[in-house]
Amino acid sequence: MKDQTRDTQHAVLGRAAAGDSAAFEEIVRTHQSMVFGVACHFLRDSGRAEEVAQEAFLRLYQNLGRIESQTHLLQWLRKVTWRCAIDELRRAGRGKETPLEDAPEPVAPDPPGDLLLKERLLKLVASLPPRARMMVILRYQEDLDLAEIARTMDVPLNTVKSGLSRALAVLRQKLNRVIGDVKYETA
Amino acid sequence: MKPLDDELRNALKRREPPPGFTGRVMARVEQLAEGRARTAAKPARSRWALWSPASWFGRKVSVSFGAVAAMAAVVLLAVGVALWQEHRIEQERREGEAARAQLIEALRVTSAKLNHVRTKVREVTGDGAPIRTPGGRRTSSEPLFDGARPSSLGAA
Repeated sequence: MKDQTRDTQHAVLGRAAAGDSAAFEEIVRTHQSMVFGVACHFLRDSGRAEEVAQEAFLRLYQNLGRIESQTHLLQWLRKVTWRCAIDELRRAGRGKETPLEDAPEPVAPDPPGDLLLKERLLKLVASLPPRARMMVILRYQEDLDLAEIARTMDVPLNTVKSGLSRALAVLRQKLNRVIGDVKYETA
Repeated sequence: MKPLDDELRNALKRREPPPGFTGRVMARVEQLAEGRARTAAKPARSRWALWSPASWFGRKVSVSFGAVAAMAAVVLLAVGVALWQEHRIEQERREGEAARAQLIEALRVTSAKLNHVRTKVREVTGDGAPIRTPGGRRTSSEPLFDGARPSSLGAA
C-alpha cells in the first residue's frame, strides 16, 4: 500500500516535471501545510508566511527537473522555505541575531488554559534568534533528527546540537518563569 | 512534570494556509509559464544578427550590443596601433634621410676646406711640390718641407 502511494507520488512528480499543471497543483496541495507551517511559525505573520510559501513553490516549479524523488522533494522544499524565510526576515530588517538570553519575552497577558499556554509557547519560540528558532521548528514541527536539520540549514551538526540545546534551555527557563508551578523538562 | 518536547510538538504543528492559497500559487505559476513561453517563442535573432555572416547562411545567431561594441573597440584599437606603427616607421625613415643629407653636406664642406687648404699649401710650396698624405707616403720625389717654416703658417 505504502509502495503504491510512493509510486503514485513519483508519477505525479514526473508528470509535473513534464509540464502537467494539475500534477503540480497536487504537489502544492500535498506540501502546502508543511511549507506554510514552517514559514508561519518562523515569521509569526500569516501574510508574510504566505508570501514565503508562494515563493518556495515558484522556485520548486522552476527546478522540478532537478527533483529526483519524493524524499528529495521534501528536503528541497524545507531547505528553500528556510532560505526564503530568512531572506524575508532580512528584507524586513528584523534578521539581526540576538543572543538567546537577550531574546525578549512576549508581553501579552496569559489567560489560563492549554490553548493560551500553547500561544505563549509559540510566542516564546518566535522570540528566539532566527537560526535557533528554525532549529526548534524543524525539530518539533517536522520531527527531523539533528543531522537532517543540519543538512536543511547548511550548518555543521555540532552547531545544531549546541544551538538546539541552548534554545531548549532558554525556552524551559522562560516558561518556568512564566508558569511558576510547573517544571518543564526534556522528555 | 510535563515534558517540554510534548508541549512544543503540540504547539508547532503544520498549519494549513489561508483559503485560496493553491489557486494563488497556480496563478503565479501560470504567469511564470506564460513568460517562459513568450521567451521561447521570441526569435533568438536580434537586429544585430543581420550583420552576422552566420545568419546569412540560415543559422540564427544572437549578438548582443555589448559584444558588437567590444568587437568594434578591438578593431579600432588594432587599426590605431597599425597606423601609429606606420607613422613611426615613416618618421624614422625621414630622420634617417635628414641625417644622411647632413652627413653628405658635412663631407662636402670638409672636402671644400681640405681643397682650400691644399691650394694654400701649394701656393706656399709652389706647384708640383710633394704633399705628404696622412699615410706618410709622398706624392712627389721632392721633400714636402725644405726645413724652412713657411711664413704664412705663423709661429708654432
